[in-house]
Amino acid sequence: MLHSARIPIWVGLGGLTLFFAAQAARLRPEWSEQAELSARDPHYAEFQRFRERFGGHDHLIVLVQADTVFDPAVLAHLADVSEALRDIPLATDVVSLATVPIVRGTGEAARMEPFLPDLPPTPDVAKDLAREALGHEPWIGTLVSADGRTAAINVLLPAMNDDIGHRLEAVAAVEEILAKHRRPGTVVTFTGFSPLAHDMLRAINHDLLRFSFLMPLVVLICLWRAFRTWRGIWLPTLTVAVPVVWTLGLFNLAEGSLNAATAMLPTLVAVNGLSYAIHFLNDYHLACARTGDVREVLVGSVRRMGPALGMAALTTAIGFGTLVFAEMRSLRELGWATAVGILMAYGLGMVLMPLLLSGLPRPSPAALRHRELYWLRAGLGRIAAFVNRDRWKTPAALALLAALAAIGISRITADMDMTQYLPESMPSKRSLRTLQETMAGFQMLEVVLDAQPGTFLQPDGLHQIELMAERMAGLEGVDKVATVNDFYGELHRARHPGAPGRLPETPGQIAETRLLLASAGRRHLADAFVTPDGAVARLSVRLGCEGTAEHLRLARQIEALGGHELAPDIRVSLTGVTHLFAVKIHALTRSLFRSFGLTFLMITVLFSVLLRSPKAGICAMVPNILPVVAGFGLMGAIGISLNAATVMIASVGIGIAVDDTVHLVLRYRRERVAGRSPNSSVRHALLGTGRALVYSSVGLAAGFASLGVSQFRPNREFGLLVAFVLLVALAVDLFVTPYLMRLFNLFEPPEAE
Amino acid sequence: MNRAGAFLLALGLVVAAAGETSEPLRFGAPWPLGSKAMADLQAAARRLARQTDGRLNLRFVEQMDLGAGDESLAGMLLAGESLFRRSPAARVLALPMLAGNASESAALLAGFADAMAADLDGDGWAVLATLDLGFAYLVSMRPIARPADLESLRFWVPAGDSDSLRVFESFGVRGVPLEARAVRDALRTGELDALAVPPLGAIVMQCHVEVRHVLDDPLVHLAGVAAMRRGVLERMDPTDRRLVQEELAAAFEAIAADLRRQESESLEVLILSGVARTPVEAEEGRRAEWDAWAREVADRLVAGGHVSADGVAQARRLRESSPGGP
Repeated sequence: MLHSARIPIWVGLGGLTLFFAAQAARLRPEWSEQAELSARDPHYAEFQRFRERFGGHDHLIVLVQADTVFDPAVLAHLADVSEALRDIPLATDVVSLATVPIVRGTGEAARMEPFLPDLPPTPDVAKDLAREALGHEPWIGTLVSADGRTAAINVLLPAMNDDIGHRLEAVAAVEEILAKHRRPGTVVTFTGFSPLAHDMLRAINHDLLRFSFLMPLVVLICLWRAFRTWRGIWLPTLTVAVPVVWTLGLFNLAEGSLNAATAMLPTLVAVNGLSYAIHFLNDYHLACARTGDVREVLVGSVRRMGPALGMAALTTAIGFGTLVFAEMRSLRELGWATAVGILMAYGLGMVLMPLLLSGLPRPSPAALRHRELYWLRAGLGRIAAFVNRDRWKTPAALALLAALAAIGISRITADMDMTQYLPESMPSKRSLRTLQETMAGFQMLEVVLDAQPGTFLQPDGLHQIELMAERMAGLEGVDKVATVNDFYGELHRARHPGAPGRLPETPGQIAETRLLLASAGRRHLADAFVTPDGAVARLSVRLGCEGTAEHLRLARQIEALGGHELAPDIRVSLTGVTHLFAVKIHALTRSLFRSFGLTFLMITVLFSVLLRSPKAGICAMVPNILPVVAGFGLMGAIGISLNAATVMIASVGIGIAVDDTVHLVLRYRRERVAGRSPNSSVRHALLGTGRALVYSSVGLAAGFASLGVSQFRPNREFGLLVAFVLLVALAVDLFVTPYLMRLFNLFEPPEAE
Repeated sequence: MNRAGAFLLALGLVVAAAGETSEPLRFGAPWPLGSKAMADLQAAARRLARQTDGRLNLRFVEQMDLGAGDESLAGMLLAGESLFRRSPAARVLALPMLAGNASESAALLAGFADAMAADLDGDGWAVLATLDLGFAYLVSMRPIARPADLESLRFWVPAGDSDSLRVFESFGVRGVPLEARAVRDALRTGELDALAVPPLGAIVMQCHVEVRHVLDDPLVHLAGVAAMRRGVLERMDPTDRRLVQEELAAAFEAIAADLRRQESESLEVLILSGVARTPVEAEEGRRAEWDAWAREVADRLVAGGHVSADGVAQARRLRESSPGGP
């Protein structure tokens, strides 16, 4: 039927492909942190409230390093750079030793004045400034290092700005300014979320450029090695390219966005489509060796491979489809689009492959025999012989693998250090290292105290803030705690030198301090820590730790401190960009782990229904869970943490590995139903499908392994782990699946019953 | 061209290029360098430098004592004695209880702006902006409910400000000239009884922890004029001149608006610090007593030649016709 209607089918497919190609071309990379999170999410809602109350800033930190930053010329340089940075796009403020005020004088003579006098100061004045700055505790680690060799210029940009383009403009502007303000003997670098994002995008583009050649090249080499004909290369390539274009076009029509997660969409559709094409082509070639007529061969291949590939596609689509329950929008999009793409890859493959092959001459049996890899056939035969004789070696190997995996899994940790995303060679990463070594930590945690209006405009409220700050400063991993008391205390002590405490002691003194801050143009500093109605206070904690696990450990300790130390009418909550993402990434890791469990369950049920045997369903799933378990075990053994990137190996691994199992099981069932003995069925199934299993698994594993040369650590880990899972899945499918089918005597023919 | 000629040409170009770097024009303002007002002015100077490619290089200097050392300044904010010395018209605006609220003071300021500009023009100054800097309030150690309570009080007068001394003496009080930093101690030791000061000034000087009372109605309106020396402005390119006039006028007006906003907050701080309000309207007839006293003071100053009779009459007319006037 396909052949007779081939012209309208070609026209239809061509038209639709052009239409979807036009749609796919409109897809643009975009990434919005806010869009990732649901407005109903309580953590995100807390963060939004925080931003409404206190604003929010993304710090871009310029580090100036010299033998001493308190050299007159270096101070003048610091002032020049600080001044120039005021002009960068989006900058709301520039805070450095050159712009920050200090309270000088006492009593009525106390006043806020710029820390740096007219520049350049004399060497003696510079020495006095060094003493003054290094004795000013709140500045150590934020504006200057304790050894006086590094100074930081903090450029404040609006936090979580949706428009990444503006952030990149700001980074480019800083690069330009720093290039103009070079000074011998001074090293100037910069870091922060925006520079890290900038360098990350640069690394992604570099990787994309590299892999857009390398990955297809590796797969094409594998295809050539497998089929050793041009058609063996272009047929699978074409049948994969069309569903990829359709999927991307449809994704654009559904207003999907291309981001770090959904960028994997074409790869996932392509690798699954490629697997279907290889299986179909393998079956066709095997049939051609037996039968003469092309159409007859094709009809046979469609009849045999249609249900097998359909079942494989359905199970894989279900696997990815469970991602629609993920909390992050990008993963939900990746889930539904990959599921649809895989089903399209199957549907289009079942149309395109026969159509294309029907127009091509049938390969001669002699040529096919010539191209056959005899060592592979011989190897598969030996595996079949081994499986048919084996009694205890396979279960023993399984048990050993499971035990090793269990040991590895017991050592696995859920952690994600965003800074590890970047290679050490990237400038912002090196600058970040300098920042972490010389200044206070980079991670921020915002501790919010909620109370009755006016509470934090009263001396008692300030004492509660002070108490909490002191307790938090004592925790291991906390580098610095900034509160409103830093500003109040400095001014109050200078204005009232004989006062017993460091903080204002009456509501009048608090109001006075706030007023004087306003007249110095610094009220915003106080308002950034206490709302004008005095109902909410913020304590900004800089953490010296890296990674989400340590962050969350400290966050739990701080929450517990708040519960114990503060008055009962003060509620403590934690938020901030870093905290929000630490919480969300851990929730995401857990939810992906759950979705893997759901996938496993659903595929088992589907197998049981389609194979009409729960026993067969369970047996078919054992070989699929083992490779994923082995993958997690390897992660634990070599110290790769479980995070949003590496947890994906479960879905991707099972999605691809299950295809091989489906083909092997269905072929075995066909042989058993045809009346062959279990041993003979194992041999026929392995010789019939094993070659395609090896071609597709090795090709895809090589493709994923090529990610191992990525600059990006998560990409490297993800690529190598998926390759490992695919190779383990291949080994398990070749050895364990036939063993289990034979052991449990699956698909016993009715006659035998 | 021979080598020597080329060298001389190159040298000339270098010298010409060096000559383009302008010397900063110093501008005096009565706020400390760390204040918001000064930061806003410095920001305006940066904008001007950018807009004129560095031709206009303004540098704001702190000039708490506006009467002295102003010869080197290209511009300054004239207020108090430095303004009264140059503009007789401005003295009228400082009459006690002439304006009781912002709309009255705005009407008075607008009505006297041309006269002040003419006075300053005669002294070689060009006006950039005429500013309403808020009010000075009467703060004291004991309650001053009616004009009779002023008798024999010792009032603070800034040291060297003979003009203010004369005005205070016309109030029937005794002026005590002192440096600002000595005021708090003088209040504590009983050397001073009262002062007329903007509430923010009282807090900065820490007088608010000594004084006990504040009269609810403002005592004196504070006017200011941002001005530049005419010669300096005339030497500028017309475009630069327009830019400097617009930019500085906008900056000073924004600062004046900030100061007026801070005035009400400062009064609240005084109250929170334990200073008691003395309402003018608390008893029947008290307002009339203060009005009569204010008229009497004005008449005395007219008689003494400190202000003109025409000016006072004009000020009263402006006040009565203002939207918020009596």
